[in-house]
Order: sequence, then structure tokens, then C-alpha cells
Amino acid sequence: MADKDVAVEQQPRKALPFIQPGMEPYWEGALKGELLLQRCQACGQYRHPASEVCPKCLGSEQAWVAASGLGTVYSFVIVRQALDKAWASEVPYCVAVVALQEGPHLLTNVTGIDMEDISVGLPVQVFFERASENIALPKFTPV
Amino acid sequence: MSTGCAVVGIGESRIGKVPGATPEGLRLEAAVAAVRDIGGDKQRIDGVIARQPRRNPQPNYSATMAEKLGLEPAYINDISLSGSGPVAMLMNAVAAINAGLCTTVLCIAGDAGWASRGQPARGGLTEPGAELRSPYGADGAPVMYAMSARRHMHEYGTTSRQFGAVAVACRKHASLNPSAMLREPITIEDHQSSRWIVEPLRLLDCSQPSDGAGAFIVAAGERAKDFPSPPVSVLGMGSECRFGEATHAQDLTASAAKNASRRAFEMAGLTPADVDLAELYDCFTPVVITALEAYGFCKQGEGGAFVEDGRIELGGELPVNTHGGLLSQAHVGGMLHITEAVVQLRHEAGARQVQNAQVAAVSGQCGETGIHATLLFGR
Repeated sequence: MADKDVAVEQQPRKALPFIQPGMEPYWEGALKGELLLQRCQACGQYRHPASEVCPKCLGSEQAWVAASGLGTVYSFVIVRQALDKAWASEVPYCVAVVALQEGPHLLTNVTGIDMEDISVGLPVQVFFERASENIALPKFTPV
Repeated sequence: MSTGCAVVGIGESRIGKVPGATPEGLRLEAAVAAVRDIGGDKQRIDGVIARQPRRNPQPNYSATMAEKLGLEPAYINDISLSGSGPVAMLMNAVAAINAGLCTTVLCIAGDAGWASRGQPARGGLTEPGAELRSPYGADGAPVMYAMSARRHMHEYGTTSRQFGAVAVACRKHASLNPSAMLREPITIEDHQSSRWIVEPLRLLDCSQPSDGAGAFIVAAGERAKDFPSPPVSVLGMGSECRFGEATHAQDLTASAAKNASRRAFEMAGLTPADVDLAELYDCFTPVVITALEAYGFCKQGEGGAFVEDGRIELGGELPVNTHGGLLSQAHVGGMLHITEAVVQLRHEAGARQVQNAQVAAVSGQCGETGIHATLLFGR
């Protein structure tokens, strides 16, 4: 295939989350604009992603509860060369680990801010970006 | 104190860019070289451990390797850990020997990372947690290693130039290694002007897909003297698992390397001051810095300063990755960190020989820094 043909190829689509068994409430919550976390009914520990047992006390009773949606940037990177071709037109973009107020760390994008202004410790809040009819992605932006 | 076992044979395949290479072909090439290194009598081998290939992992893979080599071993085992797999294979071999399950174990790993690039995998290991990463454009090994690196920079003031010192040292050593892929020396300025991949990682902070395989043969101490090459003793071993992937990890700078290395030093009855050279897993430059801190070669947070001024280059205080490492020799998953340590302790490393080397540390690492394994070898 000649190079010029590659250029007109349709850009691959961004991946949608594969919904793991047990994570359905998380994605249903996101679609309604709520960030839900699993919480152990025995010891109160929050966890993300979902699991059958609490990694702290091994309790198997849990509830899905609404999180505050607030947190701080624990660490972040700026993707400047798209490793995933579907993201080629987005570079540079920020992938961050946000430390949620409830404790769990969550991988996400931080948007709505110049890349140069993002820093560790930056207070952020969740918003939901519609990715398809059935999926909304929790993302974060400065408070 | 020691494990009572030694590495008695090593082998390497062709390394770097090997057009048409397959994982099986490269592994068999390395295995045959290792058998030749013990004098050619394959019947002395009664154990086989193999790391599964990344792109087409199969059950009972060590049995397939044994069959292709015409062996009928008493003990086999498959290891599926990635970058800590080679060290884990050696630990497993020592454990099997000391449990009386076998006496002489061949360990094999390697992949055709360059030759198979772009080819569809027949089936492959998927990354854990990928469903929560891909939608955020976070696929690819550099992302979470860059995430840990950023956190280290934030907590300790580590700089990109200091990452560069690791790249420069590895390249300098590769320039002395005929099998290395990347042999043209580089400077800190070359590193600083290389493009960002995932900031704070630049192109020269990253290892690249390579072809190659390595093999080594472990034997019980009393038998080790009966092989033609001088045995290299396994003095200490240790490992630690803190997490399998970094995405949700609570602490990205508390490295699993700390406890892994402490256990190895305790087993060997040695301290970091006894180590003459270190072959440290280096998929990306920052993990060398964090390993140096965790092992106690310097204090936590001072790894950035430690790697400067040629301290980790040949002739420096602690030569690191004397073969060029994953960064400049080739990414063979850490197998060649083990074979290089053995070559160094046999005093057969030629132009890149660490003078009078007596003790070498080797690290394996995966799980985006969450899984670490340490070996201490002595001659």
C-alpha cells in the first residue's frame, strides 16, 4: 500500500470500555451522571474497580454508593505521540491518576486546562463525556 | 549462606533485528548454545522451565520446548510473568533443585518482538485492566511508567536529564558489545533533544521491540564443579509483589524492589557495598533509578543524583547494565541481564569487563513496577 493511501484511511475509532462482569452499576451510574464506587459493608473501605471481595477484610457484602466526584491529581502524563492511532488527532492529551476523596485511585483524562498548567495535587472534579449511546466516560476537570 | 546452586551454562540467540525470526526458533537457538556451554551433553538436563511467549502463549510450553530439544525432564514448569520472568525462572529452578525434584534445570525465554511487529497475534496475553485504560487513550507500556516517573519527579525532584544519564550509560556499554542493536554513543544533549513520547518520557528513555532469546542452566552446587565453565553461584534471591498493574495503585514510588532486594541480601549475607556491578531491568530509564534507591545503593529519592557523573558507567562506582540493557542492547525481557552477569563473573566480557568482578546484582521487574525479583550472583 502506498503512503498516500494510508493517509486517506479512516481513522480507527476510540475504544469503548469492555464492561467487565460486576462493573455494570459503575457504567450505568456514569450514564446517569453519577460516579459510583463499591463500598464494603463490613469495614467501609471503598474500592475501584469492582471486585467480589473486599481486599482489606475479605468481606463479600458490598454496596454501590455515589462518590463525591472530587479528588486531586496523584500523577499525570502528557501523551505527545499517540500510541493508540485512534487518539492521533488528540495529542497532546493528559492521562492522569486521580486520588478520589474517598480513597481509590482512578485512571482518567484531565481536560479543560492547558497541558502546561496541570500539576500533581491539582484539585479536580468529575464530569461525564458521552462516548456512545450506552457509554459515558468519567473524566475530570479543574475545580 | 547461599542457595547451594549455580549457573553452569548460558546461551544467547542472534539478537536485535532478526528478519523472519520466531520465538520458538530463537529460543531453541539459545537453548542449543547453553547445552554447548555445558559441554554438549543434553542428557544431564532433567528440568526445563520456559517463559511463555507474549504473542502466542500456550499451556505446557516448557513441555513443547523439552520435546523440541529431545529431552524427557523430571521437572517442567511454565512461567508467565513478563519482565520478572527470567529471575523467577531461576528462583523456581533453585527451589526445584533444593526440593530434590531435579538436579540440572534449563531455563529459556525470548520473543520475536521486532520480527513479528504488526503481525496479528494468534492469541495473546491481554493486559489486566485494559478495559479501564483504552477508553482514555492510555494503552501502551510508556503511559504507566511515565506516571510513576512523574510521581518520583514530584516527590524527589528527579529530572529528565537524570533519566538521560541512564540512557547514556547503557548506550556507552552497548557500544562495547558486538551483539547490541544500538551502538552509536549518545550524549545527555541527544537525550534532551529526543522527542517526547509520553511526557516525562522521551524517545531515548524507552527500550524498543527486539528479537532475541536467552537460556541458562542451573545445577546443584556439588554438581556445578563438573561442568566445563566456571560455575557462578546463586548467593541470594528475593521477590515482592505489590500490585499487578499500576492503574489503581495507591503508591507509585514505594517500589516492590525494596523488599525483594532486602530478602536477597539477607539470604546472601551481603550488603549493597559488596556488589561490583548491577544488571537492572530497564524497560524505561526511571526504573533503574528507583531500583538503585530500593536496593540501597543510595538513599530513597537520591537515585537521580546517583546516576550522574558516570557513576553507573564502566569505571564508575557501580557499573549498571554492562551489556547495554534493554535500552540499548535489545529488549529480551531481562534474560540477557542474567547471561551478562554470568559472563561478567566468568571474567569473559572483553572490552566491557568490570575489573575483578566478584558479586553481581540482577533485577527483574514487571507489573509496571509492582512486581520485582532480585538475584545476587558470586564467582
